[in-house]
Amino acid sequence: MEMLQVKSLSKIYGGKVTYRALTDIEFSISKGEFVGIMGPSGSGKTTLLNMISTIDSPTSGEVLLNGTNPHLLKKAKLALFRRRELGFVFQDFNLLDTLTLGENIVLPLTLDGESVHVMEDKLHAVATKLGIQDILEKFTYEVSGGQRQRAAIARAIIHSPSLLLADEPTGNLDSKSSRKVMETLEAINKADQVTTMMVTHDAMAASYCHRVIFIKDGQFHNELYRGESRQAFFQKIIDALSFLGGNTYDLSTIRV
Amino acid sequence: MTFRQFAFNNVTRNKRTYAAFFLSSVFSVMIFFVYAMFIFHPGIVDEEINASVATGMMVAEYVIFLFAFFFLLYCVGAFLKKREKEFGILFMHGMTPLQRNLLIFMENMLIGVVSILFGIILGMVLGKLFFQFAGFLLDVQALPFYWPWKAIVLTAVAFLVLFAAISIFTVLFLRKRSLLELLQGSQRPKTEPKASITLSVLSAGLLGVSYLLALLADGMYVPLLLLPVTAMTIGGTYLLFTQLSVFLIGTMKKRRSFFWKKTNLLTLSDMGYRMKDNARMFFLVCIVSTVAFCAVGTLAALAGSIQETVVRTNPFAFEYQTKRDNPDEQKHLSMLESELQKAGFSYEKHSLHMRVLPKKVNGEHIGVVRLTDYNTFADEADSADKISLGEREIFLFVRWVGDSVDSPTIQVGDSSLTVKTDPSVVPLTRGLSFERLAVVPDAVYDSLQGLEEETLFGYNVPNWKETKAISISLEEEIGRLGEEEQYYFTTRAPAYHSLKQMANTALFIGLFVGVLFFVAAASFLYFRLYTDLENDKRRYSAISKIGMTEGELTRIVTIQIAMLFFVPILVAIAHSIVAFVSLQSLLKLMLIASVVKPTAIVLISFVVVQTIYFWIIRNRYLFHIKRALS
Repeated sequence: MEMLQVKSLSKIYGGKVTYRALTDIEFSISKGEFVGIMGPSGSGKTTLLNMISTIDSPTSGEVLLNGTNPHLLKKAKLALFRRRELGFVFQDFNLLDTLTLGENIVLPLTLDGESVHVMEDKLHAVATKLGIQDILEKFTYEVSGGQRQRAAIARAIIHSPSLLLADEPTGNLDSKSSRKVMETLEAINKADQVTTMMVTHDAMAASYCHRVIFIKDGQFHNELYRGESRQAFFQKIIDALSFLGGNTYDLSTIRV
Repeated sequence: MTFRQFAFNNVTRNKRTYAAFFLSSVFSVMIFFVYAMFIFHPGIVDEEINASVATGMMVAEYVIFLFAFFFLLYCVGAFLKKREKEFGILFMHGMTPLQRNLLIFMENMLIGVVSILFGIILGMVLGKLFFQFAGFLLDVQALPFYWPWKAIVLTAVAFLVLFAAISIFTVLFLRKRSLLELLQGSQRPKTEPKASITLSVLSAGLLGVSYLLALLADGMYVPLLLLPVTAMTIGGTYLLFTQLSVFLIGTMKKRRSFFWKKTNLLTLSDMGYRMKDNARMFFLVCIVSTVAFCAVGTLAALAGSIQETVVRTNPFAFEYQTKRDNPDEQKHLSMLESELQKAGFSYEKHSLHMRVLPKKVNGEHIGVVRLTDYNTFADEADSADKISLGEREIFLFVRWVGDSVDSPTIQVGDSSLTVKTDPSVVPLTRGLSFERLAVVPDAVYDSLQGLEEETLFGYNVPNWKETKAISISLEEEIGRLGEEEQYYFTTRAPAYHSLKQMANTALFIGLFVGVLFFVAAASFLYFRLYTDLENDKRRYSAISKIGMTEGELTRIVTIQIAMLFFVPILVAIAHSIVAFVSLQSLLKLMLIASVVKPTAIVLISFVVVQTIYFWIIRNRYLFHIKRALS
């Protein structure tokens, strides 16, 4: 069953010099799938993610999530859509530093007016799953980057969204934390069938996906499917990236 | 965590961010409450203090309220701007716009309620002190403390409404930004500040013209010019900060020999952005300060010149003018003298005779005085100008400001005299049976026979300020004006005391409102700096990696903060000085002494306080930046 459908999506930035960021992107993601989006700097990865996450709106084409086009929704409806259907993980975590990690995690439920009792249950469940139950009372500046990112993931999945979106989730983390975060994402994808789409630079991170879509200069380039071995998939991704002709610095240092 | 707890946590865990806003709110509430306590004081309601005092306080109360509204509105706006990214994250997690508004409302109300509480408590503590000070300034017994439940209710209700209104207004005027812009927050690169040459020239033109008009305007025209000049100055000032300053910085940047010299590169390039960012704040601070300077200066001048004004309008402590056929003359005069003796006041008695010309001139009766008599009498008065006349001249006094004497000559007795006049000379007396007083040469006066006569008796009392009680009882006994206008009687002390009380009230109110304005202006600056601190930390740590000594850093930061503190104040001082110059020429007509001294005191003390404040803030700021660098 197709959870997300992207149909001939294009984005043109206006202004003095118009800039074509995306051209006719077309793909779909099935329920329970874990898809990575890769490409050189400036290829339009983040723009694509912003379209799907409703942060930005497309110039033409459409995004359908469970058959709904969120860009056609009214403001209040759109807020509810984000609240219930989407989960976000950002590169710089975007946790509110006035709230404890626990409070940050329940935020989507708080906004939805959920009862405290339900919130506590869900918080407990998700924190245990992500191994952060001991730091729920701490503030963001008291914990490590990896712990922050796992708290952010907990916040993104506590309301069981249809689609989890991640924008360079390992971009600000060291290799050990990166791996831990990716294992977490993989685990929740496997256990709860959370459909996940992740934009990344990092071949190691991408190797945890079922499928990686490459885009270049705003256009679909090709896609790779993971076989049995993650190690082999990693190698394939590295090859694809060098073939894409991205500069070497686009390849992260080999971590596997 | 429920939504309410979320709002609560936002405020309570962000104490440092909200501290300045909170303190400003507390301060506004406190000032408002103290005034309210004063207005509703039983002592005032029972009219122990001049009714005008209470009215003045009422006006001040409205001003404070209005000001608090705009001030707090600005503060809330500044905060929301700083929190754009936070809202972006919240929107991402499905916050509806309605929830955002609710959040802002709840936060504001929380801060509001707590500030109202603290403001009232602080006001109660300071109330006693305030009453003492008020009693001292207003020349009455200090008011006793009382339980001000009326003031409490008024303050609480007024500020609850105010905070609610502010929440609604901020939400209404919130700029609609896309989610992408919100998330990027302050990291978005700024566009280069640009200024239009036309508007810059317009700014200089507006300011130049209004300064010129204000400086050249002569007494009479000042009220007429007040509105257009004020409007032009306000417009010019706005453009000065938004356009002209940016333009000037741009011009300086074009001169590489200056721009690329040491830290100038950093200071100037940053200044352009800061000017543009802070233009509105500069404008507000500048206008608020100008108003405060002018108000306090004028009021101080008014209060300081009361004695001079009263002495000028009442040259003697007691005056009794009588017609020749007044039967009570001796009775009244001896009553006055015996009262003065009884109370132990020493006095000198002087008299001046006047004759009333039989025929009207220009529709007025004219009373004439002998030149020598007049000058002797004027000499004895506490304040009066002497007159000098030629043989064939007559001196006519003006009766009101702007009054003029039309006819070039006047026939007095057998001689025709040339009219001479001087609007700055105040007449010593007004007549009972004539409208205008005139001085004639001795020979002319002596030749006038068989005319109606009046006599003015003036009493000099060295300790006249203490004669208030006697004056009031005598005025009751004698009456100010005889029943058939046979005489009039005036005293100086009561007029002096009531004027003094009024002026002191005005000063008192002005001073407090001035202080409020100052605190507000200071808070504006504090907010601004606080918002910039995080960006500056990042900026300076980047620059210091390239290699910048601590001395250079101190220099740059000092110049920048000094700009923030003193640019609007200096412009305000320039505005105020020009305003005072034209005020001076207006006030001269109203018999008020020079505004120079009180104004200088006000401006200098302001600059001193501002400098101290600047020094403290600069050191704190540098401390924070240096700590971030190490």
